[in-house]
Amino acid sequence: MTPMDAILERALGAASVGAQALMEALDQLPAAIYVTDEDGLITYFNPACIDFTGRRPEVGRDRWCVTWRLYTNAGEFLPHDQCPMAVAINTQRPIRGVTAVAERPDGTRVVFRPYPTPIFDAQGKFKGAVNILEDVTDEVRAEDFRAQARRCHRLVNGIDDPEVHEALNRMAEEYEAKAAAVEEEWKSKARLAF
Amino acid sequence: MSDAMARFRPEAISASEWRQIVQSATETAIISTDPTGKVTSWSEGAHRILGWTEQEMLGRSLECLFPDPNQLSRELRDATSTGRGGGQEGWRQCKSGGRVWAAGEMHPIRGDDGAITGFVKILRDRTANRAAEETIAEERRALEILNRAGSALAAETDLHRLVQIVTDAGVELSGAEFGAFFYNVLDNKGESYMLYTLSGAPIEAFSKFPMPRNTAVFAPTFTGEGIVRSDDITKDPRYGKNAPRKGMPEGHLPVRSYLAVPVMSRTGEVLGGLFFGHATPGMFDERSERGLEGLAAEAAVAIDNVRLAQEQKRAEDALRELNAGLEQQVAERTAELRANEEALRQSQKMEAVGQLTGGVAHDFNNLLQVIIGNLDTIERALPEESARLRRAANQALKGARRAASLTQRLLAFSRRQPLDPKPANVNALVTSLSELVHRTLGETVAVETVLAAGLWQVEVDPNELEAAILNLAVNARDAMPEGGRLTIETANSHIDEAYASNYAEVTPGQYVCISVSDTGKGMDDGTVARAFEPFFTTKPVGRGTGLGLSQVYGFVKQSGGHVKIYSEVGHGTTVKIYLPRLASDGLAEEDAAADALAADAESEETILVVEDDDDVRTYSVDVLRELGYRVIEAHDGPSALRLLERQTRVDLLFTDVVLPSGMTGAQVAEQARALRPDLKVLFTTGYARNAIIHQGRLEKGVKLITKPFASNDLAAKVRDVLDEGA
Repeated sequence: MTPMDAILERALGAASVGAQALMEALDQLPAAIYVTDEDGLITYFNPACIDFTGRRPEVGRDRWCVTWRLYTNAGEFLPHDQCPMAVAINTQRPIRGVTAVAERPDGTRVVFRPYPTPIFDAQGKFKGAVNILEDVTDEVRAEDFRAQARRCHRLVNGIDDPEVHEALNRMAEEYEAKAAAVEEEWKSKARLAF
Repeated sequence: MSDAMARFRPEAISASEWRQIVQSATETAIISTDPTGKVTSWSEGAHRILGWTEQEMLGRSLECLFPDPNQLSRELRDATSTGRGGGQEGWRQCKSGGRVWAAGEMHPIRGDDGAITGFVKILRDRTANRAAEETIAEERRALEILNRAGSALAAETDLHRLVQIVTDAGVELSGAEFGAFFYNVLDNKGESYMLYTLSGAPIEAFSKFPMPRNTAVFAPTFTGEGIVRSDDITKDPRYGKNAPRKGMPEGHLPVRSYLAVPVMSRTGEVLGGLFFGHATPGMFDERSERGLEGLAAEAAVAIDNVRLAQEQKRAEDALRELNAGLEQQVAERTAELRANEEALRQSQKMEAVGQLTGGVAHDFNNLLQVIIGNLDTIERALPEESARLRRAANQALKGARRAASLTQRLLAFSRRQPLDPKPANVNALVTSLSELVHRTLGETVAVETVLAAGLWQVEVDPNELEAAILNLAVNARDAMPEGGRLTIETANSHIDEAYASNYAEVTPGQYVCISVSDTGKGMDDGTVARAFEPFFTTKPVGRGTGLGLSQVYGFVKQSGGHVKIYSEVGHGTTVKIYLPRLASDGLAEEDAAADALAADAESEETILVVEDDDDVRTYSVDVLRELGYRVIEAHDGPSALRLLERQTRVDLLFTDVVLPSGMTGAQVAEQARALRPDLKVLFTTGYARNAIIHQGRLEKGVKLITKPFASNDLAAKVRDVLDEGA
C-alpha cells in the first residue's frame, strides 16, 4: 500500500462516517484532502489545501475542486466541471493515473496527481467523493530533465560531428544529474512527510 | 538680160506709188526724219502702233518714243557711223501713255551725192509675241521647279526634309516672299499633331505665334475645300473676323497677297496646307495658283509614300519585335524545360543513389542488430573484475552503434527511415530547440529565432525535424569558423504551380517554411547543386561523413516536403525546409487534451515476442526478461496466435513486420486484436518499406522500434506502448 492509499483509506473512513475526530485527524495530514457531497459541492477541506491552492476554499460554495484554476499538462485551460473529480462524481467511479496543473492566485503553478474517489454508504448509496491532491511537480520536473537528456542522446544519433556529440553528451549528463537531484529532493520531502 | 529685167525700171515708180507702198505696211511703223531726228513722214502703220497721226507728229522729234531720252541720239549716231542704229527690242511710249514692246532699226537716207539727208525708222510691234514668250518661259520655269521638286520628293524618305523641299519650291514657284507648310504627322500612338516648315522667313519669325487655328481664313485650306487666293487678304471679308485678334497678330510678317493650297492625300484626307504671302498686293495670279496646285498634288503623293513607308516600317518593326519576342519566349521556355529536365535528372540520380544505399543499409541493419545485441549481452554479463574485456566489449559496442547510426542516416537519405509523424507546432519545437542549438554550437555563434505568428500546424516526425534543424545548424557553424549569426525562421508559405513545375516531386499548396540562415562564407553554384548528395562534403576528412544534408533531404522528401538551398559566396547560406500544412489544425489540441489525463498505471505484464531471426529474438527476449516482464516467444504468426489463445494474460505483442509462414506482422497483430481487443502492439523492423508503412510513413497509431535497438531503447519503447491509454 502506497502512502497515498493509506491516506485515502483514512479519508474515506472519515468522510463516510463523518466522525469529527477523524476529520480532525485529516486536518493534520500534509497532503491536500477535500470532500464533496453528491453534487460536487465542497463539504470539507483540510488546511493543507490552503497552502496547496494558495486560497481558502469555501465550503458549500466551491464545486468540484478546491483549486483556483486548472490546466491540462499541455497548458490548456481545464474548466472545473471537466476536472477528474467532476468525472469521478458524474460517473461514480474512481479516477486514477492522470495529472493536471493547478494555478494559484499568485501565478505559481503546481503539477499534481488527483485521486478522486466516490463514497458509498453501507447501503451502497452514492454519498459524494473524496479527493487527495498529490504534488508531483518535482516528479514532473525530473521527468522533463530526463526527457531533455533523452533528446540529447537521440540527437547524437542523428548528427555526425564529434564536437556536437561531445556537447550533446555533456548536456545529457547535466540533465540526468539535474533529474537525479530533483528526484532526490522529492523523495527526501516524501520521507519527511510520512 | 531678160525681157522682164529689161522692162524693170525702178526709177519708173513714182513718189506717190512709193507712198502707197509704205502706207500699206500697216503692221510696221515706217517713220522718216530729218538729220536731227524730226519727223518728216509717219506711216499708217506708225499711227496704228503708236497712236499718233502723221499730222500730230510731223516736225516733232522722235525722242517722245523712247523711255530713255538718250536713246534717239545714240541711234542717229550709230546709223550715221555704221549705217544701222537701234536693233534692240524695248519698250516704246504710245500716245495713250501706254507702251508697246517693239523691235526696230534706224537707217540713214542719202542724197545722190551720198550725203545723209535724213533717217528712216522701221518699228515692229512685238508686244503680243513678247507676252507669249514670257508665258512660255514662266511655264517652263514652273515646270522646271515642279520637276526638280518632284524628283527630289520622289527620292526623299524623311517627311520633314520633304515638306521643306515642297515649301521652298512653292515660294520659288509663286514668287512669294515667304511660305509655310503646316502638316499633320502621326506619333507612335497613331495620334495626329501638327508641324510646320518655313521658307523665305527665319523660323523665329513664326515661333512666337500659335499654330493656325481653324478660322474663317484658314478653314477652307485645312478642311480641303479649295484654294484661297487673295490679291489683298486684308481686304478679304473673312479676314480679321476672329477673336481675339483682328487680322494678323502683332509682329507677324506683313501679308497682303495671300495664297493657300490644301494638300490632300489620295484618300481625301487633308495632309496639310501650303501658305504663301507677300507684302505687296496682287502678287499671285492664276498661274501661281496652278503651279501650286501641281506642287500640292506632288507633295501629297510624296507624303503618302513616306507615310506608307513609315507604316510599313512600323509594321515591319512590330513584326520583328514579335519575332524577337517569340525567339525570347522560345528561349525562355527551352531554358525552363532544360531546368526541369535537370531537376528531374538530379532527382532521379538521388533516387537511384537512395535505392542503392537503402538496400545496403537495410542489410547492414540486420547484421548490426545481431552484433549490438550480443555485444550488449556480453558487456552486461562480464564480471566487474574483467575490466579489460568489459572495455573491449564497450569499445566494440560503441563502434557498432556508430555504424548503426551511419546506416540510420543512410536510410534517412534513401527515405526509408521509419517516421512517426505527429501533428506538430513548429514554433514550439524551434523555441525549445534553440537553447540546445546555442549550447551545442558554442559561444561564437549567436542563435536567433524569428517565429511567424499564426503558424500553421504540420504533421511531421518531431524528433527527425529536430535532427534536421540541428544538422543545418552544424553546417552553418562550419561555414562560420570565425563565428557569426544563425537565424532560424518560421513562416507560412505557398508554393504555386509555376514554382512547383521547376522541381520534381514538389506539389503546389500550403507549406510551413523553416529557414536556417548563416552569415558564413556561402557556397558556389556547383557546391549547392551537389550539396544533398550523400558523402559529398567540403569539410576536412574526419569532420563529418557528408551525410547531414542528405539526411535532411531524405527526411523532408519522405515527409512530403521540399528543401531548397540559397547561397552566395561570401554572403552566407539559407536552407529552407517546406513541410506540408496539416489539413485539420485542430487535431493537435485534442491529442493534447488526451495527454492531459495521461496514464501512469503500472503492473506486471506479459509480452509476446514474434521474430523469425533467432539471434534477434533471443536478444529481445533476454532484454525484456531482464527488465522484469514475463516473456513468451514465437518464430512466426500462426504459432504466435496459438500461444495467445492459451495464455491468460498477454499485454503486449512485440512482432517483426516481416515474418515467414505467409503472415505479416500486421496480419498477426490484426488477428491477435480480434482475440484480445485491449492488446498493445509494438512492431519492429530493420526496413521501413513494406506493408505496414504507408508511403514510407507509419500509419496512425502504429508503434514501431527500428533495428538495431539497444536494450534501453527497447525498455523505453515497451514502457511507452504499455502505458499508453492505460
